[in-house]
Amino acid sequence: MAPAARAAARPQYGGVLRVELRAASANLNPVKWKAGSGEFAANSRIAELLFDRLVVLDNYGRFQPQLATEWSHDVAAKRWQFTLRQGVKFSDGTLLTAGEVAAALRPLLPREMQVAAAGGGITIQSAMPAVDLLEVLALGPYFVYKDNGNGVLRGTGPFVLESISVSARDTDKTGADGAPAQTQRLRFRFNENCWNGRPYLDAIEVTLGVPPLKALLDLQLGKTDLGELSLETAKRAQQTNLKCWISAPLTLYALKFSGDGKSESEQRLRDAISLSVDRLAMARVLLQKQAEAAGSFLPQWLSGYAFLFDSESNLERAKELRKTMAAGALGAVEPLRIAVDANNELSKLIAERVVVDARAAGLTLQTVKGTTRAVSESVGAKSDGDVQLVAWRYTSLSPRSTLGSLANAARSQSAGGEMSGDADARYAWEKRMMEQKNLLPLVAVPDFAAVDARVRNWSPAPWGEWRLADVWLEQGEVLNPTRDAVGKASVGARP
Amino acid sequence: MSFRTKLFLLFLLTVLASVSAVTYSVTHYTRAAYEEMDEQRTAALVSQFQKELAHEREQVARQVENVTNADVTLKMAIDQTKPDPDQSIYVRDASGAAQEHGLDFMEFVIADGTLISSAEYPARVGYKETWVTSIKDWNGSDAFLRRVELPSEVAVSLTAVRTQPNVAKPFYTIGGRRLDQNFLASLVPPAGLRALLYLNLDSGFVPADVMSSTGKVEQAEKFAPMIAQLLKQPGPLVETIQWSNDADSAETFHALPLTGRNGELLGALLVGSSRADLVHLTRHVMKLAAAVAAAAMLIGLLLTWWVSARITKPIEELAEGAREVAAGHWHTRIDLRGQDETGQLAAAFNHMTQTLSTQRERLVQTERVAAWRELARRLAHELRNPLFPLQITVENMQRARQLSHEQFLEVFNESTATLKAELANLNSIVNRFSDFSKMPPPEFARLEINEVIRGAVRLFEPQFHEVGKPTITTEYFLKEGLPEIDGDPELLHKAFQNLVLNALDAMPAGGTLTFRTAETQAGVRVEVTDTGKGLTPEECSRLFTPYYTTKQLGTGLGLAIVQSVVSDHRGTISVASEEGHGTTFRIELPRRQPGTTAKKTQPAIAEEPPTKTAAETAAAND
Amino acid sequence: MPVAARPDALDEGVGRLARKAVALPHERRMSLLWTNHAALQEQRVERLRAVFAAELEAAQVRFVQGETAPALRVTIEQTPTQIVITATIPAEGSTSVAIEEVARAITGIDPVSGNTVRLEKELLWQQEGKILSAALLPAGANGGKRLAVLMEEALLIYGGGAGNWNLEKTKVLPGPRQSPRSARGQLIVAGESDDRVGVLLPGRRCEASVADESAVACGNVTTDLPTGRLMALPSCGKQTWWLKSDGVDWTEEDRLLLRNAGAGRDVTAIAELGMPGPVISISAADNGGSATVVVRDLGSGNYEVYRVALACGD
Repeated sequence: MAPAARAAARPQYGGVLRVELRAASANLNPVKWKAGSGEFAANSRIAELLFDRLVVLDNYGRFQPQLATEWSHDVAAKRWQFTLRQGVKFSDGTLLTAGEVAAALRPLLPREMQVAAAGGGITIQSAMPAVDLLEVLALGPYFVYKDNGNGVLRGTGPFVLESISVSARDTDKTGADGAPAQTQRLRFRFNENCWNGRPYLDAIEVTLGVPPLKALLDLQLGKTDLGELSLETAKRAQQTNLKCWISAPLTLYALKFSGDGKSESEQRLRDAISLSVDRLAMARVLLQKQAEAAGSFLPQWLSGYAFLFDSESNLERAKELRKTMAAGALGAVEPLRIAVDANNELSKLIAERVVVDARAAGLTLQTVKGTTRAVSESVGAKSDGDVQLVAWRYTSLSPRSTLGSLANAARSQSAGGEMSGDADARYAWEKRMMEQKNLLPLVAVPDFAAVDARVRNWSPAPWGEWRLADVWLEQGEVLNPTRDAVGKASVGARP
Repeated sequence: MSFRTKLFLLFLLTVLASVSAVTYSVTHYTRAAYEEMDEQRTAALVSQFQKELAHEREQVARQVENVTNADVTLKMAIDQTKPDPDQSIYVRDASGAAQEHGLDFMEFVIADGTLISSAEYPARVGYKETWVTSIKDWNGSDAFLRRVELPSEVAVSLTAVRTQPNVAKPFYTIGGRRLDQNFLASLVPPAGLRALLYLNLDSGFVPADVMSSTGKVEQAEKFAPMIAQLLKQPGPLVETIQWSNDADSAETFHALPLTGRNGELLGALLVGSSRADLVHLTRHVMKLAAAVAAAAMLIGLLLTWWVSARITKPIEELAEGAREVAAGHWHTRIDLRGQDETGQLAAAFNHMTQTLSTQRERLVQTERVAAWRELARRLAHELRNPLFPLQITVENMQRARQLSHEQFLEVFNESTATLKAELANLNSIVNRFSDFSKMPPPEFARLEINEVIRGAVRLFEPQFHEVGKPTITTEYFLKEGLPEIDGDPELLHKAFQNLVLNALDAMPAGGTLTFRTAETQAGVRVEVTDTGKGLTPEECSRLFTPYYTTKQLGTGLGLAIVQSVVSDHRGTISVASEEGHGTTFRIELPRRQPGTTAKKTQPAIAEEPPTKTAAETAAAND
Repeated sequence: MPVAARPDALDEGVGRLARKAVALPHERRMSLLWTNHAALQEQRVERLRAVFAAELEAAQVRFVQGETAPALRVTIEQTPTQIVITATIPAEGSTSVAIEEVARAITGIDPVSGNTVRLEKELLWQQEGKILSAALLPAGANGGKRLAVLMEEALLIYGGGAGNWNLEKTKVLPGPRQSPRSARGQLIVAGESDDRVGVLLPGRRCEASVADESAVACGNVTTDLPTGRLMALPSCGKQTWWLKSDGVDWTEEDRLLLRNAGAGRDVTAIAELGMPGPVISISAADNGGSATVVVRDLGSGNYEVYRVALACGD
């Protein structure tokens, strides 16, 4: 025991934070990231270490200056001006210029936005009113970086990529989850030139392609400090002494129909499936209260009005619809095939529940092996089944932008016109999109992670940012894991 | 059938019957003994299976009891008795319990039947399992077979259910092991026996549901009828399955149905016993019997030879003589001496042939005279017609001599024209007779009768549809793929032309002319049918007599030519007619002519029409 | 560039929402159901409600109590950047929706997320003798705070405040003595400004008055001793939390863990506080956001009484 460990409240410098991520590979170039894709999370978590944004959002809803120190916009919110922080240096020692900021943001911003360097700042000119530009910039791919032309991206962030090594994966049993046989290890060293000051940590070692079960074991054995977990392993982690983190529901699982949904029979089938699925039971029972029932595209934490959408099942109504279906219709006798990623246990479980629920309404569904692609990637791609179970990762703080990307992915062009920033209009827009049922939201699942007790001052954002730059490590003796066992055994024996 | 053959067959039958009787009784008793032994072995294996199953039942029940009594389960059960319990936290617990206790299936169900944890189908958590709650206390109950639904398949499980004894509200633990081919691995069948497992997993029989301890079973679809019967009525069943055409591939299957709690069929143990040994034994017996029968047959043959040489040879000679007579050799004599019955028979036969020969010569002479008379009568009649105008003309000319020169010249010119015409007429009559007398012998070649008919009719097509004349419709029912026959294309062509002409004459007001061909045993049959006025029976009987005609004009040679051609082809012609309903000529031609070689002829008829046109032919024949 | 806070921004937003609601088809008589899921203080919410109601009443809408009238529901939600106020307005069988957003940054409220809840401890008392339970009592008639300390055989009442506690009363517990090794007990404080203290002992429940010299009265009951304390603090939002100990062995230092209430037993602790030894009991303190915790200090062997309080914000 080290009594000093508990007493320590003052941040300490030094130490290497070991991080294990589930993603098999990382792409640090934000231009290459696809909105809504699962890899987005891992990529941006790593990019956070290297690059900065113009602004970030704090937990109190306030935009905090980063590379931009001031900003303003005209009355129509079409022209935005950002004043850049002076004296910011890239990790190679060169000064950050407005031109470089504009060049970095230009390929990332939507087409209707023009970015230009102007004096000590940049201007962003939008064709449409961009009331939510700060929300857009505070998350997602909008990092500022410099491409030296040799493929190495330089940032102004708290860390610098020191090395990349590839090693054969440990042969111990980690569960078959389709992870590659190789693991990539990225080492980040602190950036002395960081405008925000040197981070507490000396280095961060990120190991990629670690299955959740292995991450949990490594955490328990003290082999890692921060591990990305799955719903299942998080549940187990909570029963141990590990400090667990659960984000807001960040990944939407939805059914995506292959057909155009124009025919009446197809629409009826979609209605019947939607009514038969008990999303609440799925979230509360099957996913053990770790997920949120999704009756809309945007989650409650992002839109604030998701509760207005009805996510309750109505089996009786579903049965009535089933009765009106033609005997030869898909889903009546001929099973409707749901393509599911065989490697994703959660997807499989959700899809199987959809099958079970639909069966209660007399519908015949069947899961087939497919690949769970992010909704964005499945656009235009040939589907393996009649329906696909897709996963959508919320990667923007702007409800408008998120809804736009989702509509695009769900091919709901007919939702009508350009969406204004107004919440009423957005709600109406989402409602129309929901009625088309090209994409049927089921549940939204959060991110899970656990940290070792010696990791201090870790306060990740509910929307998924890990903010590792503020973390420091307790340098004392590492807590003895046997303490957990003793602690568990004595529960209930207390007065 | 010859007497010799009959004798031989009688002998053979006697031998075969006795050999068969012996063979049958030997194989019968062998089979009975074999089957008794087989049943004993099968029963032993079935009882071994049942013992294993009982053992497994006990094990499953014990393991489920262990899970039920585990502290974790007890805690779960106690938690459920509290008000508003949280059911979501146990979703995964069943999976762990199943692994820990070596069970394939594990589920926890609370008092109202809600499934709160499932190892095999987590997606169903939250749904009700009402069958469990129908019994409040499962403790002490045996494990039973049950269909278990899995996410992507159906399995059969040996299931045990236990109720948590120490809590206020019922809490059920359902555990089970999968019944599949692995279970068969524990059985050790004796040589020649094998155990298969059928599981009723799909609606209706699916071959993949039959499995052996090593996995798939070849040709499992052959079990379909057997399984269908089991499904109809689950009960022990014995059936033999033939795996290939080879008899020794047969296998007898004893089916032991495996049923669930409500008597529903969940599967069956199929104990197969190969019939190869029995088949080999039976075959050996049969071979022996065959050898005995063959030897007996050889002896029979020799015996028959000897007997026939003594008894049947004279009878055969007599039969040969009778055949000769039938073939027209009227002077046949049989050279048989002796005073026995056959000798007397031969003498009587010789006498008979002599008498027949005399009678026939007389008849031929009479017929010949009659024919000549008819010919003379006909010739006289034919010639008289032109001769009378000749005579009148000549007399006119004689009388005209008294007239003036100009008048005479006029009469003379008229008369000479008449004379010329009548003389030409006479000439034509003479030619036709001459033609008939010159009918050549047929020259045979291979030909297709349909082609000949079509060729012959084609010449008349223009006539059928001639303007101002009644229309003749032709109908063809010509069977395709008729065998080629040996025939003279020229002669047959002529014969059919005559038949068509005859029909045209019979239908002055138009009608339908139908051609049919068919294959007969000996060759082909051609039928030409008109819808004309028809013939009386009397006319029918005289139809083929030369120079007989029912027509006002014509020589009466047409049908005689037809008959002549047909008989030259060793065929037959007959006529069927009813007055007022048309006439049908039926010609049967043999396939082969003696002494001809297969020589395919060009359908010369169709492509090279005869020099005379059909009309000319008609004129010539009538 | 932090935005200047405009405290009335929310009121304006609610006003706009009310005007939107009036413009939508609506009934003349409605009941008003008001739900707040954002981290707004109760007084603030009441003010917003008043603004909303006034605006609708000006448009001839009458708000009535009871379930017979159709319900106009207003819900205040919070997203990362916005306060979202939603009104669902019933009219002739259908429901229309009006939504209004106000940027959180300009509302000037100090919202608190779960991550910023802290636990703070303050040592009140320590002694060598074994303390079964202790409770900081709300101010009595004479104004000063009182501390009730339950020992094996008696209930002691101290007055005077932190650092200056004076023994005021000693109330002997009637009935059989508990054996020292397994002695257990828990103080229950019924409510504010109540002078009565409940004492839970194994198999018994006693009542004691701290204001007078009356004897402790006991009756037989079988109630389990509580293992934690439900806490809430208005300034930390509308949530409630469970404060429980980590429950280690009596030979080790323990921790106090704060978890969201009603979220199941396995949720992550959102705040923790190390204690110098095993936690003996957790009881009520002077308000809903604090607790009185008895700990045996492993360093000194003394029994210590702490006031543990919730704290929010930076």
